[in-house]
Amino acid sequence: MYLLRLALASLANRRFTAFLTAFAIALSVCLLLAVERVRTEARASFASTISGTDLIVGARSGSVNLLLYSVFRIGNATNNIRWDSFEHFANSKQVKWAIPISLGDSHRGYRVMGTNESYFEHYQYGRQQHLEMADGRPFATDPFEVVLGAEVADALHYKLGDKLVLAHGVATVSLVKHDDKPFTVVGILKRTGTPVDRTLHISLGGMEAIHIDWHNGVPAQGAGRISADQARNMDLTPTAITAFMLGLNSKIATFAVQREINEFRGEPMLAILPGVALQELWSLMGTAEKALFVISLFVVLTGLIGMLTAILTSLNERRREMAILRSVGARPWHIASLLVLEAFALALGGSVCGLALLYIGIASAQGYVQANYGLYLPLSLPSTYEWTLLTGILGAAVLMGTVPAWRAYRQSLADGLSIRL
Amino acid sequence: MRRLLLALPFALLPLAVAFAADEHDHDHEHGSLGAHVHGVARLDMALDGRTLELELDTPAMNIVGFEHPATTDADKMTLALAKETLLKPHALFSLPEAAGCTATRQRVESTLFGDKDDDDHDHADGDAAEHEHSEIHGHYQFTCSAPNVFNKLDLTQLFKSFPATQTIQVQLVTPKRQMGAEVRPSNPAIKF
Repeated sequence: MYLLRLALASLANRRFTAFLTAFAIALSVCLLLAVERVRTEARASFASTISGTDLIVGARSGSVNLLLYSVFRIGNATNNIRWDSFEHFANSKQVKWAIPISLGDSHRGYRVMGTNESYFEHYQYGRQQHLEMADGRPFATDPFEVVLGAEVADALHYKLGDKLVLAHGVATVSLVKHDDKPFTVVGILKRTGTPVDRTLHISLGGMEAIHIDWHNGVPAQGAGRISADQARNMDLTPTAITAFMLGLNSKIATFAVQREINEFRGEPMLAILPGVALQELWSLMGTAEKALFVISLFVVLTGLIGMLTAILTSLNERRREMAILRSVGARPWHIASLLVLEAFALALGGSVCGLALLYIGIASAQGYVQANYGLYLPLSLPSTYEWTLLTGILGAAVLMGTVPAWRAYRQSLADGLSIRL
Repeated sequence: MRRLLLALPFALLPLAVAFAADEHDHDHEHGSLGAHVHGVARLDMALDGRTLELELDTPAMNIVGFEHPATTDADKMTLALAKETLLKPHALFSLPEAAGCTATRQRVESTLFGDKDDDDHDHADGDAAEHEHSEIHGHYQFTCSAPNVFNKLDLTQLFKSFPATQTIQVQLVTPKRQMGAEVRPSNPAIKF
């Protein structure tokens, strides 16, 4: 115990270098833990985005690609699929419910999704939770109604009854707007912590109506224009959609339906099991995650080597200290353990500061990260794995402390009291 | 996070290209064909209530070591033995005794067994001989008295019986979750 007190007192005497060394360790520990946090939370939030959906169907491409654009609104579809094909499978005996999805437009950087009422009824996230309205109602028969995700309503300060104009395409700055056909906010969804929060939901009829007078990718001019009221009276059944989700009557039928869709002769389509595609995504992400993890491990190693250097360089100027200690009866192993304790104290201080930095960081960035990346970082206690990492760092520090300890042990024997000044 | 994800496909592009090169997916004039990769088999398993269904799709190469119609006695013998093994699903998929699964339907099909190729309806008769690739499909359905006991799919026996199989792409559906995995002989079991 008195050894630890001595070690701390000695550190206090060199408090500026000691502080810098501990700070370097703190930063590296913070980085390591932050990478770990973001990794686990990203996984958790991805996994909780979709639940209860047996199959997702889109144009034939890759399963990860289909999962990303249909569920996470990342990237774009390669092709659309015909409405007939959707109806063919939606009316199949094995299918309990079907949700059509039509993507491609946006509003101030948030994606717009065309769908129908079965989305509000059947879409599930997290632990089989259904979507709930915070305010208002789902869109009804009028095509120009929009239901906002919680985040869209929050960030853009929309309330029920507000009118908004959708933009064509998904660029943040869009040149072409559907300003002749404004939408009315009729509902706002409760926060889900999933990409649903960052989506504007309109009916498929609305999606069709805003593009009804478009030709060759541009809106019609002059007499060719169709007003919102005219559009209301037209047949707004879409001809194509981007993807659809299926819920089946029996899980057993999953593979049979998947096969049927993949071998459908009407058009090339791909049916994926979201759970399987998600796992495929993890295995892809795994490489990048590992790279990040290894980098942060090396940063920690750099921090520890910095500590080692600081202790080693201090050894020379502390010959006198050691000699005095020896003269008052300290044995060589006392000196050695003094140095190991010093390394341990530095690493412990660094780790504690690192943890503090991490929590300060999470607390201050929580809102921003949630709003911009849809990632919720909870202020939870370190997990067992994180404790293991921290223990590992302390162990490594002690191991490194043995290097100067060994040197001091040897020197204190050689030098004895006959110090050469 | 999103940006990172967006960048991923590019980072992994070399991998994808390398992988795609391995798959020799032949273009036919009609319909579309599934991938046919020697050494890789696909297994789908669905469990709901008391019903358990397993579906195995594998290139014949993995099972019998050839894909041409059997003409010699040795080939015919190999085929017969393989079919026999494939028709013993309890052993093949190491189904636990305690789960009490009884097969209600099992079927093993392949052009090599003289079955009609149901993938390509448009094929003219006698086309099978010109087929470059043959697949073997196994379809098994069970009724289990204690499905809860069954919580691990062990494919050790499958790899042992057909050593030319190097990877099995497994898709699993249970009432609780969907899972996907690439199972290899070094790690032949999946818990679910």
